[in-house]
Amino acid sequence: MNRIFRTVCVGLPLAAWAGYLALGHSLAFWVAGKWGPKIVAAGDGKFSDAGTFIQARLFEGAWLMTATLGILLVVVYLGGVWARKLPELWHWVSYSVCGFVGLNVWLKVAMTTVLFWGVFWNGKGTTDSLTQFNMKLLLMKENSAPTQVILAGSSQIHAQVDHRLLNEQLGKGFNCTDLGFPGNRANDFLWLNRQLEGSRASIIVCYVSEGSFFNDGLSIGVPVFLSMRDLPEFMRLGWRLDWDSKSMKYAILANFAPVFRMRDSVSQRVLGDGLNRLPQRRRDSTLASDLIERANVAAPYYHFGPQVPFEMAALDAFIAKCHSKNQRVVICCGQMNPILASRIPAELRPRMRDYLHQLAAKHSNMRLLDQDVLPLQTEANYEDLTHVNRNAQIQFTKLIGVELEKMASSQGSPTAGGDVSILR
Amino acid sequence: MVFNSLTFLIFLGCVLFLYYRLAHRGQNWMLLAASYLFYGWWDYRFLGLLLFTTLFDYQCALWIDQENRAARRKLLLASSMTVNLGVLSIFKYFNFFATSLQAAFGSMGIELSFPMLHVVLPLGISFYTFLSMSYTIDVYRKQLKATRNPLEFMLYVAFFPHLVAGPIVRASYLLPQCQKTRTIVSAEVANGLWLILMGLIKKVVIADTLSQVAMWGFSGKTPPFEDANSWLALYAFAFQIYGDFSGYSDIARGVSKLMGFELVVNFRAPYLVANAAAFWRHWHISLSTWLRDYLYIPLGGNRKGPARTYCNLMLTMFLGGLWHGAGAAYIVWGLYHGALLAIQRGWNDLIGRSSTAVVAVDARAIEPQPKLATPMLSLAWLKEALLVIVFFHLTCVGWLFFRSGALPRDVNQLKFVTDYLRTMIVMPHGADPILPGIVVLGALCLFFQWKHEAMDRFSKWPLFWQTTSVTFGMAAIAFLGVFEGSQFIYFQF
Repeated sequence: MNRIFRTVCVGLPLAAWAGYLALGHSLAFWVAGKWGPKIVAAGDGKFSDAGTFIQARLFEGAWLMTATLGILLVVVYLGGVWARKLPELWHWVSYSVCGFVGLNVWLKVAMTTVLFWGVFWNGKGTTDSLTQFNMKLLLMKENSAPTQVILAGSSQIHAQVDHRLLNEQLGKGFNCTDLGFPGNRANDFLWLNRQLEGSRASIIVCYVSEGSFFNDGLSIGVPVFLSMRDLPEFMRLGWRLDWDSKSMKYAILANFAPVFRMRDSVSQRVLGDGLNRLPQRRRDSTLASDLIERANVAAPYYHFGPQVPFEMAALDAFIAKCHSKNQRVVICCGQMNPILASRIPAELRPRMRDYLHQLAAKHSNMRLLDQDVLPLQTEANYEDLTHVNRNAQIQFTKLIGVELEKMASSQGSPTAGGDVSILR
Repeated sequence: MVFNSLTFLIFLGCVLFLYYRLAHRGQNWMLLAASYLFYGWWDYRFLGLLLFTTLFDYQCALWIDQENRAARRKLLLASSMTVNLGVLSIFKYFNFFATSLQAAFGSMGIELSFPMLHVVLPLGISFYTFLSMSYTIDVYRKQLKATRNPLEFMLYVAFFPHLVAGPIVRASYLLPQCQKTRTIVSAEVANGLWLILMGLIKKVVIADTLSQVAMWGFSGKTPPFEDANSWLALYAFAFQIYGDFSGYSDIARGVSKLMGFELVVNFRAPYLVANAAAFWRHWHISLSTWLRDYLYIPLGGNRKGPARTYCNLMLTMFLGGLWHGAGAAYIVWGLYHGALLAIQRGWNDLIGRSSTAVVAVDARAIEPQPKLATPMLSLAWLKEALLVIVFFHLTCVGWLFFRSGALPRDVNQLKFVTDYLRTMIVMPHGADPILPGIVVLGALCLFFQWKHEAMDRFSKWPLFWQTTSVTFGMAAIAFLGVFEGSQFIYFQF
């Protein structure tokens, strides 16, 4: 191995760490002192302390450099050892295979840093879900607020709750993070459990509606979150595995090679988000502009299908796991646009509510905000079939803020049965 | 069983496992069985037709070879042609000609009714028919001795890497490879592996990603864009069809190299050329040389005066278009290219420059690089670059006709094309968000064309570039590849 290469691989990280230890803190806070408010504003509510943010990024920079050069060194060394056993013509095989494995190891390491995910940040509204999820989750861990709240669920909770407004309302004692993904199905919450390991989240707010249980749509969390370790539990809960589905294949591959987890993020970065969003654009162009017509198309997908017991059992298991970690779960019994709600089978909503009540009675760490507590949303409050407009969002956010304040003031885990807020 | 599927990977693994353990004769038998399995995987009923045309041409060639009387030889050749073109006409063109005749007579007030055939178009029928036909013609012309071994001939026709989408390899080139004991050269195996990887990148990263754009551009009754952004769908299709078809050819060549076979180069740098004649020397070379040798030259080529030359050109390209598909759009595409070739020839005649051969030179010969290889930013380079850009856009217009051939049945193709052409001259309101993706994948596509000669010599690259290319190639497939096992475009031809 080339001596200069070895020296660079060892020397550069050492220099980076020395620089970080000597200047990291002061440099970070000097920059924060000069441009702090601008940096925080650019963060769009994802962090509040510019100094801590910059220092953490400097640390990650040194760490990533160490990991990159360290892995490169190992790749070249192992490739070389293997190459010695091969004819010269085939040396590329050993180096390429080691290189590909090294790339995957590097990704595994890099995925734990905000700096890495920052490369895939494409701007507000055009960044892929996984990048947003990881950046928000990692930045949440750096936040020092005593009460960490996570808003989990599909795009519905994103439309219902404005996390910036909520943070303003709740003040410094709270930090609310809107993960936005996964959560379009009830079972998606189970992925969250593992992802939240190491976080200080104490309250998780979930917004569920009929779509969370009774819609035939696929979970988009599978390819990026499924781990082989999850399979026994998921199957015990009644998951109907579709081995042949595309997302399942990617999920299996991703367990061996993290490159497969990064597909959306990388393609969005390399090819722009226009190509990634093209299928959605094509679908949107075929959507009827009339909401009634759209509701007529969407309604048949809502029914009590064979997957429903699993969705329900998964939510149950999620809340139980949160309990073991001393986390409290707020479940909002949400709704959809009445135009759609009136077209799906009438028995679905009572079934969902009954089940949520059963869960609230079973789990002491669960607080159910039933439909009667939540503001009634009429057709006029919706922009489409599932997402509310700004006025409804503000109203709903305020209510959640009040509920969270109440919960914070009555800290300590209840011992028997959950809490159900119902105005009769 | 497509090249970009797990099934093919397993199939290839089994074939290679057996291949390396067998002697020459056993290898041929095994390859023949594997090729028929490969073809029958789509539909076992196609096998009968393949077997029939193969054995018929084998026997015809044998008789032609043994026959000394010119008239009998001609008769035998004619019967071979009749059977081959008959099969092709029935399966591929019957319905098209029947409906066209009905429409033509209908417009004159004469009601005609032909029965329609409800048959599935056998995969790659145009490819293996041309392959087989060229063999009997070569034997008739005494350019080739007929083989007496049916196994070797059957393997030549059915050899699975080229069976469904070419390249259309001449018997004089491939048959000896079936006959002689093949040697596996490590350097060629390494080159083959790189060709397979590169072919997969072209197919699953470039072509299948861009196919979404092209599909969108041509999925409705009207073009989706109202302004010059409509060019984007054409660019996307241009790069898609290159990635798809040349990717297939690369994989076919790569797989062949793993077994000691050598197939002809089918693509060079078609989008880096500055005129129509050069385009056809770089695009689908095995077809253009076939058309030259078996159609254009026998028609008289450019030896019978200017008028006849132009007629021959148009007729050759008309049939070239028809070869691609039974549809007016493909014919218009062929005629469009015929017109480009004719204009080029006319211009050359006008300014007194000697016209280059219209269609490709020998596919195996090394074609000089396009003039873009001259020092950058010299006047000659800039002129060439400008011509390349202009001709690329002319090619894209051709692809509009070609792609319109696959529009849904209920779409009026002519109206769609005219609507589309109208949008192409309207200033865009802004760049569409799909632009960056097309630029990146298009640049990758052009890079492969620019370096096409180097791509064939992977084993001679420096280790650093070998390692970097393979690692990034694998990463590109994992990150960006579309793994839907989608068919190759040229399978339908």
